[in-house]
Amino acid sequence: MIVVRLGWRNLWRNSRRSLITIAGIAFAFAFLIAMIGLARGLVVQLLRNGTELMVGHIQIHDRDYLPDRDIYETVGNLEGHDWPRLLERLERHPQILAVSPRVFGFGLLSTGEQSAGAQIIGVDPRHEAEVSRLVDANALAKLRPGSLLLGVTLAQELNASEGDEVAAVTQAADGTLGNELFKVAGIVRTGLAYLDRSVAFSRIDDLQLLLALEPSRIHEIAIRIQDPLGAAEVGRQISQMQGLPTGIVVQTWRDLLPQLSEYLELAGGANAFIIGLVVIFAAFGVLNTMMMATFERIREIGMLNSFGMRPALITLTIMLEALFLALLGLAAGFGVGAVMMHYFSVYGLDLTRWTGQLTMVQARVDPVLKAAWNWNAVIGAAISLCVATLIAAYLPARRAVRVDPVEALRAPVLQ
Amino acid sequence: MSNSKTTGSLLRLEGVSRQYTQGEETVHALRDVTFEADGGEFIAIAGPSGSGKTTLLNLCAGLDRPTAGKVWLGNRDLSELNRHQLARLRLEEVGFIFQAFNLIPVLSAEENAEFILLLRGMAGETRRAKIRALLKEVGLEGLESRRPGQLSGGQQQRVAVARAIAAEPKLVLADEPTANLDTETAFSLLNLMDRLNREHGTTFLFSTHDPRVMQRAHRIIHLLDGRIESDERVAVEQA
Repeated sequence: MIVVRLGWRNLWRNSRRSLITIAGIAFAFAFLIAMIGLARGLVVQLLRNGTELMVGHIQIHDRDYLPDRDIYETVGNLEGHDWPRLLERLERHPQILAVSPRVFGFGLLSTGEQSAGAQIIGVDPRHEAEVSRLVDANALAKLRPGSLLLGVTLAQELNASEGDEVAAVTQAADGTLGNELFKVAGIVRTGLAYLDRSVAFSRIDDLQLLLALEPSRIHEIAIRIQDPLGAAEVGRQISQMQGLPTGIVVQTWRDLLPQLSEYLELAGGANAFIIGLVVIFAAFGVLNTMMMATFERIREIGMLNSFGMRPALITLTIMLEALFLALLGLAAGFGVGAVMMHYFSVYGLDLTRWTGQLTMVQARVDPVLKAAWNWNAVIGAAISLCVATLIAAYLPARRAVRVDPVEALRAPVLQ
Repeated sequence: MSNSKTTGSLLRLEGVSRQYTQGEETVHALRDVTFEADGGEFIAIAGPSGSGKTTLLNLCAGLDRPTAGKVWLGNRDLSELNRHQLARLRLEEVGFIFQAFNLIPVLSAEENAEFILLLRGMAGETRRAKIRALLKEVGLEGLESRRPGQLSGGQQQRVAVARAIAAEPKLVLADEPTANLDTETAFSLLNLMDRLNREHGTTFLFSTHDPRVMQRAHRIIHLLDGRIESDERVAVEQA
């Protein structure tokens, strides 16, 4: 098509100017790719540290269980539920990577004369290792029947070591005082001081026994999914599954960690603002180039008009020139951006010099920020740059085709 | 108001005036110009600079509108056509040759020559065959792939002539087509236009202020200060 040929060749009439503009678009796009990638890297890290430590991406509870963690409010109420079957059904969901049942209890742990209050979390070691990173899988594997893992500070307070015996006393669900003797299977570091000071892990059936809960009664099912940002949709699909126990709620990490969710929303807004600013700056560069290009060719545009070329076709020729400008800029920018992304995803952006150790919204942040691709945002930025370029070209194009052809034909030839 | 008037002539101007405002001054580019041109004529619009030649050609093409009077092309009153209809009319019925910088610099001679046919949507093979033949006819065989910058002034004007007549328009308007050419090249171009006029029956209306060029016309309309001073048919001098 002649307009495509004209648009492409017109681009190279002033190759230096076109290359500078292409470089401008390329720089803007490469910057956006890197910025979006680093922002996504931060999000991934915050999400991972915020959710994979303990919370998971989705949790199922009885609707009255949180926030007090009342031991009576189990999944399926007092009757409980065939949760192993529920776990199997959940595991068949294509988005779900792992599920972990949990029981929570609070009690007093003691070793001889030392005692301390603790939260005891009953877990299935194999399942838990696939959902959370609070305790490492090797430590969880040591959890034999009748054993406990102790947080490192708690163990120090109790003066307990691996192999020692610890007595646990708690208020049981049947109104009695539950008490059991456990063997310390290991000392664990969670990375979070308040947990190291207060948490102990047991097998789920041991804790059910201590709390006088029937084997069908658990407090929580934690779920890890493929895409944490798609948790709302997976949560909705879980809620609609047939045969779920009555009175349960399905909550995503956004419900469970509202601060993290709000921070990510805010970060997303800030990113969109920066993308918008960069796109506007790039558009001004294109506007300048296209204004000069059309001004220089005003006589030629008058000539095309005199031949009977429709104004819309003349406009299209100019717009195509701008589109080629944008596409070349985007291609070059993508190349540079991909190299930057590779570097930042492998080596990261080291902020140690400026920040030291960082904690954001209760999640630890590694000061060496690793980038991660966010294709939707990258494609969005590319489309925004393209659209902005076309808008920037449309303004001078519209102005040029509206010039009186007689005036245009009188214009001096500049190029 | 009627949109048509059967006159029998190809081009008809009736009481056409065109005035511009330049600062506080009113410039009368054309005053009460009336003439008709029949199909197959080879007409020179002669006159000194500022006599209104270019304005007259612009009005004939519908690029400009008269302040008073009417212009008919065939049986169409140009004053009643909108911008898009005028563009369509020019595409289908009018060919243009300008004084200089006639060609699109980024297109080859062949692409420039076929430009109007492309806009008219003529199929590829037919179009290319026609343009190759036409370029051969205007003496540009072998130069088809050259860009305007690689052609001499005379060769560029020949490409412009080929483009102007490629779509077989009823009327070719040429604004001082020989002004930037040396005498030999100018006559060569005029010979070409003359031959195309005789062989294809295309009507040529061209402006000039060069007496040697005027001599080649079959009819000379003299303009002075925007008025027709004389309209004479001359004996045809064979090239």
